[in-house]
Amino acid sequence: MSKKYEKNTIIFLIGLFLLAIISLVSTTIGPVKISILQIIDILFESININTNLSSSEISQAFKTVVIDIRLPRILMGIIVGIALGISGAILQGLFRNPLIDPGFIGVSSGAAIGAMFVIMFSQLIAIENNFYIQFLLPVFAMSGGLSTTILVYKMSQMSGKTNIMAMLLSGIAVNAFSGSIIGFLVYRASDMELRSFTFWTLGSLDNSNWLIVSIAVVAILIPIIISINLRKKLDIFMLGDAEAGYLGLNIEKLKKRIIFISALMVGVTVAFCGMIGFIGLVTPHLVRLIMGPSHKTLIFGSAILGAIILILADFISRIIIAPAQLPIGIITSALGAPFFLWLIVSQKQKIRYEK
Amino acid sequence: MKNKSTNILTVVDVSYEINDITINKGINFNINLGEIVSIIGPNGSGKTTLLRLISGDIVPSYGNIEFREKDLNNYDPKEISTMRAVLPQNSHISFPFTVNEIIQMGRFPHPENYKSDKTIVDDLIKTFDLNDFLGRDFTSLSGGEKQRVQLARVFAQIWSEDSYNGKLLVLDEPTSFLDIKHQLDFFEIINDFKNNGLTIIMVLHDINHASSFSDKIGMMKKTELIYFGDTRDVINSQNLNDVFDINLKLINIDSNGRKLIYL
Repeated sequence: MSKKYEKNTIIFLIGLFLLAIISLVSTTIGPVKISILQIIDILFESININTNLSSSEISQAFKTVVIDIRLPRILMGIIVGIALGISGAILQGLFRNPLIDPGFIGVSSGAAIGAMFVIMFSQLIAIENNFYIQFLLPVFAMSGGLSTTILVYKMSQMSGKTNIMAMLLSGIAVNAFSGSIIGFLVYRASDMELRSFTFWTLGSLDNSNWLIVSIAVVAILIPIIISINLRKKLDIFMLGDAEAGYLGLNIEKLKKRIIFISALMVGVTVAFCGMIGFIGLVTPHLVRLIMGPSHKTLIFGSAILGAIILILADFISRIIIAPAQLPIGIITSALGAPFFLWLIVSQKQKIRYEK
Repeated sequence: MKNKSTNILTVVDVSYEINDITINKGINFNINLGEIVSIIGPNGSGKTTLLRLISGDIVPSYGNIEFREKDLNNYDPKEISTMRAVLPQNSHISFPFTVNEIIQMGRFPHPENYKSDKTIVDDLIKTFDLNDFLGRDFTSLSGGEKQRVQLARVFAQIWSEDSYNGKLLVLDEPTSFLDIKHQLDFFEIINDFKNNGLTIIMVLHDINHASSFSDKIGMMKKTELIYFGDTRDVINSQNLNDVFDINLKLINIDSNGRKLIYL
């Protein structure tokens, strides 16, 4: 047991190290080539430490590129990866089903309605482009996502208890209904609006800046802390509703918390970065394969791995058709789906999920 | 023989209805500290619902249940979880937790103590003959092996250093998947715990098991508990024919008046 504990600590440290390396390398990539040493110099200079590892004078333009453009983008990628990884892990726990994706609680489809509404409405009353992307779209996407989640949650209440099966079904129904609303809006949309909306659904870290990063950090910090605190309770919850109740766990409180913190986390990512698929589904799987199913390792592991995968995907999206960049959602799905299939086929014995 | 004994569980006029269907009706009985009580009866007679009422999983429509002289509804789930453990009929786990992890989960209501928890888990692994499954993935086990792991888990929940006085175990068909060796092992184990003060109420299907290993027996038929009392008073062909609608022959096995079914 203590040996296992040590092994897990080493895996976490390796994960964090990998994340740091990938983030650093990813920061060097872009239209302006900046070396890793220069980046380290710039980063240390920003906290008033003079390292001068690159032994060269670094121009102000380089500093601006790193500090104001690339750094917020990388940080936003890490935040989004953590949020999607953790919400995938705790929602798969809530449904006791490894095939659950954060989309099942309706948050993404609700956010899409909100986003589409803003895109069409702002064209109609000609709001200045930048303003609505920076402010209105995230607010509407977030409100849309939370409203649909509340709707799904309310429909799953049966005599004071949350029926998980009913929740799964109402999630599917709400998603289908949202799909028809989006379909109607898409039908009415102009080519321009349609293009903006399509790009939004493919996800992107392009709009990242320090303001957005700060808002996102504040919004997901508490959900992350709550999730980590739920790790032991989630393991008990895996025994079944009645069994967990007999062990003294307040299961209704647990369910409610999981639903709302994951809606908040996914809501924030969708609001600022659009839809980024497959991370929430694939990440917990990989962590379970490496470290086992216990939420004591799953939640923290999914946070680190989610961030690594997202930063990698962003890295690829920026180099694959450079100097242009591909929307990140295309990369996560294009890599995530075949990888997921390979995983299922090659690890059949090891996965062995029952149901 | 009849010493003054204290009640651990008192069930008074309990009925349970859902959507106007009566599942339990007018049930009265009490259990004394350190007794093994078996509930038998045909399918659908309301045995599992009665156990769920006793476990506090569902609340009676009428009547009330007292556990340790306090209304069951007035217990905090956390408070009661250190005093009574419940094994439901069939549990399903979707993720590949190891046998050790599942048993360890039984310690959830207690303050975490790495060393003593490990001793308890190791002890129960031996007790339930699970040595061969150490570190094995629970989902890969057979039905009987899973049942033994779940049994070890509920025993971990109420595990005590000294006495089991005032602790209650509620088991719904605990032997349904076990082979004959493990069935007999199981009855030996619960008898050991009973001798340390543990009270057990369980649903059994095998009348001979119930007759051989319980102090008291309750017989249910169509929502009602129609007979309840000392094993030797309750097990007779007249009562069994009433409850199960079949003609059974009984043979005496000892001078205490215990009887077994002869098929």
